[in-house]
Formats: sequence, structure tokens, C-alpha cells
Amino acid sequence: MRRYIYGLIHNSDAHRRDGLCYDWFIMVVAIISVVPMMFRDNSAPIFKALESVTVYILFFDYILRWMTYDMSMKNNSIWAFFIYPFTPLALMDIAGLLPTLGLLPSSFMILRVLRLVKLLQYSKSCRRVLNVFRKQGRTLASVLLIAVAYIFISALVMFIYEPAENFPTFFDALYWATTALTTVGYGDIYPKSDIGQFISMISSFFGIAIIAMPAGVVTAGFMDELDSEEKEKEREAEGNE
Amino acid sequence: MNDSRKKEILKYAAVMLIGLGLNIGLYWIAHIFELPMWLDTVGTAVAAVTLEPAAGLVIGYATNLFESSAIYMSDTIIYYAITASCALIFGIMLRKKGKISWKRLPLAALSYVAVSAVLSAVISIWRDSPPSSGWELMIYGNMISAGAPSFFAYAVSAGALKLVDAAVMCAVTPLVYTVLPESMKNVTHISATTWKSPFNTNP
Repeated sequence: MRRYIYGLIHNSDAHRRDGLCYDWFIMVVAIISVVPMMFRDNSAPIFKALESVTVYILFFDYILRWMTYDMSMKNNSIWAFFIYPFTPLALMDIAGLLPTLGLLPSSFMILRVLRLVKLLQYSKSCRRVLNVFRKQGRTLASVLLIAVAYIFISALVMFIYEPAENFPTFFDALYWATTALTTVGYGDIYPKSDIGQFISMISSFFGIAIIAMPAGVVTAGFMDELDSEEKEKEREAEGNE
Repeated sequence: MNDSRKKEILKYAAVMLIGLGLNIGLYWIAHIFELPMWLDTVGTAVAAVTLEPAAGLVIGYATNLFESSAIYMSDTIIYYAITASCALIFGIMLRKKGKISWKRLPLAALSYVAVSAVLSAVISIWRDSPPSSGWELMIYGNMISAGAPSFFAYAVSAGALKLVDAAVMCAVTPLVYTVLPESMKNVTHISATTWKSPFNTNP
């Protein structure tokens, strides 16, 4: 029975139709479960019912995953059952359910969005993206560090050269640098002095390249992931022949 | 799907339905006659012993789902922890290398009483809610008025009812197991799993 459940929730056999149906079912339930959050007044009975039913299903999925966690581990140790509740995905799963079960104060209701983490567990595309972040973690971290440092330096330079009425606090400068360099540019805070505008031009010019770097790393990683999947499929096909 | 697999599924379904029926039926009897017991985990123990702990865990969830959606409130589903402890304790302690060891029944029952009393107290304190059974509430109230600490009062009041539950389980579980046809027992599909888990009960 446990092996059947394991196959069902982990979709160990790619050709299993019930496994695929289960994946889709849980993903749809996870999405439906956050629908009540999209309404200001979500005290209507239909939302309450929706919340209860989806929580029951997601809680059951949590139990099934716990029950079969040892099979996902290479050494099949009994300790798997003790480790599972403390794994990041399990923690996020249960944190998304506890507010509805009344076991966390209402201020923690926002944690319900964590139910969407189920998409990472069940959607192949989401898993792919997660793999990219996992594999490129170090590169991404260093690139992000450079980007943050660049924003910080730009903000600092602007804060020093612009008059206080334009950038009253350093936080304003930081806000300007972030929105300008990420090309969002709300336009509510901007440099007005000549020197400030010159600094803005220079920092935007180089900033674009620095801010775009993480996107490049993720895209390259994603392509690599797709390539390796393709190669694996080809190898499998050759093996079958 | 081959015949043996079909048979296996049917056996699992039959025993799990019997377990679920026992859980809900006995719970209603205890509820209607206001008996000092819950009796909603007897079928869980039967399924865990007859099939495997995982089967007990699944029907335990079905029982808790029924109770929390039809009788109590949705947040009471967290009491599933007690049902799960029942499935694990009875399933693991009584099954050894694919054989049932009834000698361990009293020990399993006492372990269940202790674990479920502690779990019940922890959950009730966490939920900040009084005991939901009249008998439990009476014992709890008496203990609190006698000056007992809250956790202790919760644990003792839950443990008292679980003690009666465990006594009934000690009588009913072997009885149902004996009554069930041989073909319905030990139908573990997980015999090929590799590790020496207590869940893997086949020799």
C-alpha cells in the first residue's frame, strides 16, 4: 500500500495516469485554497467551505508524503519519519495549513499563501525552475550581491550629491536606486539637480547590465536543465531500443 | 490489472471499510449512550493489525475527517495525531515479521493510553479549548478545582477515557481479527520494500 501511495504522489513511473491525475488534482486544490484570500470579505459560507475542504485534502497529502518519506531517501532509514516534518517543504506545507486549523493566531493568516508551494512539489516546470535555483545558487548569490552593492552605492552617491529636499532620507535614495535600476521607475522621487541627473544617467547605463545578470544566469541554467532532460530522454529511448 | 492485484485491492478495501464502519459505528454507540469512552479508533487498530500500519493511518484519517466535518469543527482534524499514534503503536507493536504477537497487546494498549493522553493534552492546550466529551470535561473540571495543573488535568481526563478505549480495543481487535477470513489477513503489497522498517511487516 505504501509503495502504491509513493508511486502515486511522487509519480515514480512517468506513464502512470493516476499519478498524473493526482498531481493535477493537488495543484488545482492548492490554487483553489488561496482563492478566498483574493476577496476582502471572505467570511461568506462558500469561502469557509472551500477553505475547509481544501485544507482537508492538503492535510491528507501532507500525511501521505510523511508516510512514504523513507522511500524518497536513499538509505530507507526509519529516521526519515522523524526528519520529514522538519524538511523545508514539509514545514511550508504545514505552516500553510495551521492558520486555518486555528492553531496559529490570525496574524499568521498570510502563511496560507505557502499552500502554493505544492506547485513546486507537483509541477514539473516548477521543479525545473527550483532545480536551476539549486544548481546555480552560488552564482546567483554572488550576482545578486553585486547588484545589491551597486544599488547601495548608487543610492549613497545620489544621497550625498542631491539636495535634502529631493532625497530627505537615505531610504528615499535607496528606493529611487532600486526602482530606477530595475527599470520600474515610478517617478515619484527623482534627481532634480544637474549633478544628480548626471549620476542617474551613468548609474542607469551600467546598472541595466548588472541588474540583468541574475536573469541571464537563470535563463542559462534553465536551458541547461532542458538540455540535460532531453539527453536523458534520448538515452532512455536508446536503452529501450 | 492482473487477478492477484485485483484481489489484493479488494481485500484492502474490504478490511478498510470494516475498520471505518467500526470506528464510526462504535463512536456513535458511545456517543448516543454517553459512555465514558470514544471508541473511534478501534477500527484503526484492526486495520493496522490486519493489514499494515499505513492502512490504519488512512482509515484513521477518514474517521477524523468524518468527525471534524460532520460533528465537530474543521480545526479538530488535528486530533488525527491521536488516531495516527493508535495505528502506529498497534500496527508496529503487534506485528512482528508478518506474525501477530497478541502477547504484546497489553503493552501496546498502555503505550497508546500514555501517548494519546499526552498528545490530547498538548493539542487541547494549543487550541485553548476545553475537552469536548462530557465525561472528560467532568474529570477535567474536578481536577482543576482540586488544584491540578492544566496540562495534568487535560492528560488525566483524556487518559481516563483512552484507558477504557484501550480495554475495549484489547477485546475487539483480536475478536475481529479472528472472525475475519484468513484470506483477508497479512495482504501486504509492500513485501518487496528493502529496508528493515517496522512498517515492512512481511518476513
